[in-house]
Amino acid sequence: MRLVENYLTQASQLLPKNLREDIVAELRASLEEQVLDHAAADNRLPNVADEKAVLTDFGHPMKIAGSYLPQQYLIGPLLFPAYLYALKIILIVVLAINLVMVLAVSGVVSDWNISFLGLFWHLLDTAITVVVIVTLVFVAIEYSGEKLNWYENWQPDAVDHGPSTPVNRQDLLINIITEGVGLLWWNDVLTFSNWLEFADTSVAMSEAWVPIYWPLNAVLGSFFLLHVYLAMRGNWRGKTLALECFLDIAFLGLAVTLLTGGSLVELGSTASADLQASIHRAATIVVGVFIAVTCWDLYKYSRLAWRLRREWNDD
Amino acid sequence: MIDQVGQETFERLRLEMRRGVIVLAVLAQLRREHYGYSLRKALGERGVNIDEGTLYPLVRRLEQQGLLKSEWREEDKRKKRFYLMTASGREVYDRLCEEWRQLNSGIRALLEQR
Repeated sequence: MRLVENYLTQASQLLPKNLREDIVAELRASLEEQVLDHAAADNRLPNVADEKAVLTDFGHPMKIAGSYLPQQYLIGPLLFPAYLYALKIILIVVLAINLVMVLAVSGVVSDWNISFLGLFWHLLDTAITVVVIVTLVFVAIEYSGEKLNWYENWQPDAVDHGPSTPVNRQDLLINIITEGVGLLWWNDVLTFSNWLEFADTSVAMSEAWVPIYWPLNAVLGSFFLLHVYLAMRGNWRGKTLALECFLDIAFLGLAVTLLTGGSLVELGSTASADLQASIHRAATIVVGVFIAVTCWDLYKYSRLAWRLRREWNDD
Repeated sequence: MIDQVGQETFERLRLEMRRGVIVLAVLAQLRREHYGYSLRKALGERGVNIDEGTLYPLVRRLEQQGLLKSEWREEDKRKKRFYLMTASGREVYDRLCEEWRQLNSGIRALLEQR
């Protein structure tokens, strides 16, 4: 029975060594008898057609061999949702922190010129590394049995995070884009120098901005990370609202420091006195608008925090 | 008329439902000795059709769990592996039968409920 033997050879290659001989012998006995039965039903000697019919019924050799093996997976169904969730959160947080760090460093190290393509490859490289590490950690958890402790030791208190309120995703998206572009510009990855030329006079930021370089990076970066995190979570809670208010206050502090630090822009010597006054006024108004928007945010989020606190107390 | 998706869903549910009771059917047949193919035929004759890919690994698992024992023997000039229920297999089988009867009566009551 040539086909049966070939079939068994193929299946045997996939079987565990210690069981191979035994399983193949059992399958052979069964297959041969079925081929004989198939032929006997038509009252004749067996031929290749009988073998084909029986093997078709048996199915692919890999399927048969696989059915003898224990179910194997790197991350099982019990742990997989947690793996996906952790991967999503860690990936976004690590990429966001990485982006902020790269931009901050590129702004300080003058000979490190980072391009958009370079940034993309760097983030892709980081993302692949994160996926590999998180996957390996979860595979280790899967095979250590630690997941069983997680599930068995679970208490309902674990889901008691206090009251929450849904985020406004449109607002968050605008914030994330604004903060992202702000970081890119602040760290010289994006430049708008062409827009800042008036009547052959160059316009540059004054020395007043220098002391707030790192603080503004820290505040903008923190805003960016917080808003990315909120976009994923979908809910404001007490702690995230407190952080938002703290960052609003820090931003206001920086803005006020800037306004009291003298002229915000420096113009070329050819600029007329009227033009200089207009540009200074415009720059002050822009900073003033940012202050007003931040004040409104601070008011809005502190009210929300207060409401959640009352709900928490009422519970 | 059941559409394609409905048919696939039905097939999946049918297989899931059968999977749970196949062990009981196999144990019931192995109160007397059988080798793989004869076991499959015996089950098939009683309307319980199980493909080889499911049946053979299952009897091996049951043997590993100590519910069955097996031995290689020659019959009709062919070497065959014969399986038979062990004493502890009998105990488990009796308890599974009791579970089945309770479940069956519960399900029957649910199905007949109006």
